[in-house]
Amino acid sequence: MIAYAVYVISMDGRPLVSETFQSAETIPNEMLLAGLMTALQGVATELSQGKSGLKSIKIDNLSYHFKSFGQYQIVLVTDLPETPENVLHRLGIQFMKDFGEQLIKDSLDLNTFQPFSDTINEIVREELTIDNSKMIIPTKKFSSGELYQLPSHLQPTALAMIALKEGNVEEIASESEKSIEDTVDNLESLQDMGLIGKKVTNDHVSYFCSF
Amino acid sequence: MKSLAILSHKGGVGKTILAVNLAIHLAAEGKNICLIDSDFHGPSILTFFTPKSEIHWINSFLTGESSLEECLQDLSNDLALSGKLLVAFADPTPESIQNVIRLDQNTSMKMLHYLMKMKSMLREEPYSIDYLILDCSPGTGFSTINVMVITEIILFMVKVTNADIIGTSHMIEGLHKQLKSRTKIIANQIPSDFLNDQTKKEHFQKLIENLLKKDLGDKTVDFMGWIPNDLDLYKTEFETAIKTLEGNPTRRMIHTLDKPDHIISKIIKELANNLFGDNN
Ligand SMILES: Nc1ncnc2c1ncn2[C@@H]1O[C@H](COP(=O)(O)OP(=O)(O)O)[C@@H](O)[C@H]1O
Ligand SMILES: [Mg+2]
Repeated sequence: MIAYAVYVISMDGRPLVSETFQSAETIPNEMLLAGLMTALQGVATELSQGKSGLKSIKIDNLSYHFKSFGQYQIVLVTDLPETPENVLHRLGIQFMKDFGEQLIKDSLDLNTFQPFSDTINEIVREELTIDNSKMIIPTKKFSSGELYQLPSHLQPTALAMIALKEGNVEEIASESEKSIEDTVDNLESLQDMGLIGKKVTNDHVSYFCSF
Repeated sequence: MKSLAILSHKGGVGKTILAVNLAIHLAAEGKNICLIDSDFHGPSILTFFTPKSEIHWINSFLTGESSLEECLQDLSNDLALSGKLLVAFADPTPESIQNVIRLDQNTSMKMLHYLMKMKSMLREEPYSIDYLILDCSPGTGFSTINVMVITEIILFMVKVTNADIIGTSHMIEGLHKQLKSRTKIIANQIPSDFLNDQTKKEHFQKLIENLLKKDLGDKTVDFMGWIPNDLDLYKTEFETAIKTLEGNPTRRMIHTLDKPDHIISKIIKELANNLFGDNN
């Protein structure tokens, strides 16, 4: 599952701190925020009535997952509709530990919460996939029909990505039975098209797609 | 491993009968076969076999809920086949069929992912499959396109009626991009007296080839021949259905298993050679 953004929002709807993992070209901030507002309206009554502490809403190919923690709620934006409950939980509990006391104060200084964006980064990186290349476009996904609309030299690499879901250049080259050089070129083209993302963890580079 | 997808424009043309007969014939020859019911709209491979234990539908492998091992039933001993016959059945419950009808792009992508995984697993131990045969839904739904993506040989079955033959021609044109360099076509339920007349047969074959070959450019369609209409089959199937309704355990007749000398068995053996022989 790919994480696009995290928001910590006060119960009256004010963003306390947030972190986005995409470039503005692939997911414009306005789009994220507009979606967030719509989604918030959708869950506001239910969450405030305490009916359910957990809720997911899908808007424009983005899934907004909410978890309420009393005075605030965590919103996580991902590519898939399944709720990443564990991540929401970890983020919420950590925020409580770090800033629980600040929240009860009468006047909130938003700068207080700024350091939490690093915590968000750490937790999300551990649990979910983040596109370091910031090139994957949520509205552009592989589909078996569209696979064949791709230029034919890209099709084996695209198919290998579907088979592996995630892999390094060697694995993708071997799955598609193409040379490393061709695979590198093809992966770059697929990235330019917004179809696949790139993950870098301790010098290890891998490519992934969303479905 | 070689893989074959059996497709058609309309339903009821004989895809499932062909898939089952091919699988049985090849397994009887000592080959390792995996037969998958990928007609999620109208699962029917189950009616030809007596499944062993509780069935894990192949649907649940394709959604990541079951392992491949759980979904494959080895029926070779029951049927005294010298090769392996692993069969996976599709879920016939209305809920499951509704799910497939409503399949969205993302779920379809997941299915394709698992189909590709399945294919690479079947190649290896402990399966070591020689031939993978997939029986598809009629038409061009997501699930059929997915199966086309993972198979080397695509075989269209037509019944020579206007609705089917013209429809098949449109279907092949529409799927042009998805087709492999060679596409095969076979005609079923041909009146036997027609098949005995060589001139008529050749004339008609030309007409079909002209219809199907147009606008395909770099890709070719090979005509693989004719399967006669078996006048007794309808009666046999009717009798089997009555037995089932009476609550008796039954399985439908399989020519290559129950009537190995029948003309249909002979034609299917020849077809297997032409599809999978060394030149193909
Ligand atoms: N060669 C044949 N001769 C006589 N009847 C046939 C023949 N092939 C198919 N049928 C009839 O058509 C019916 C449908 O066949 P089936 O294999 O289930 O089609 P499909 O899988 O394409 O929907 C069978 O139950 C059988 O009665
Ligand atoms: Mg069928």
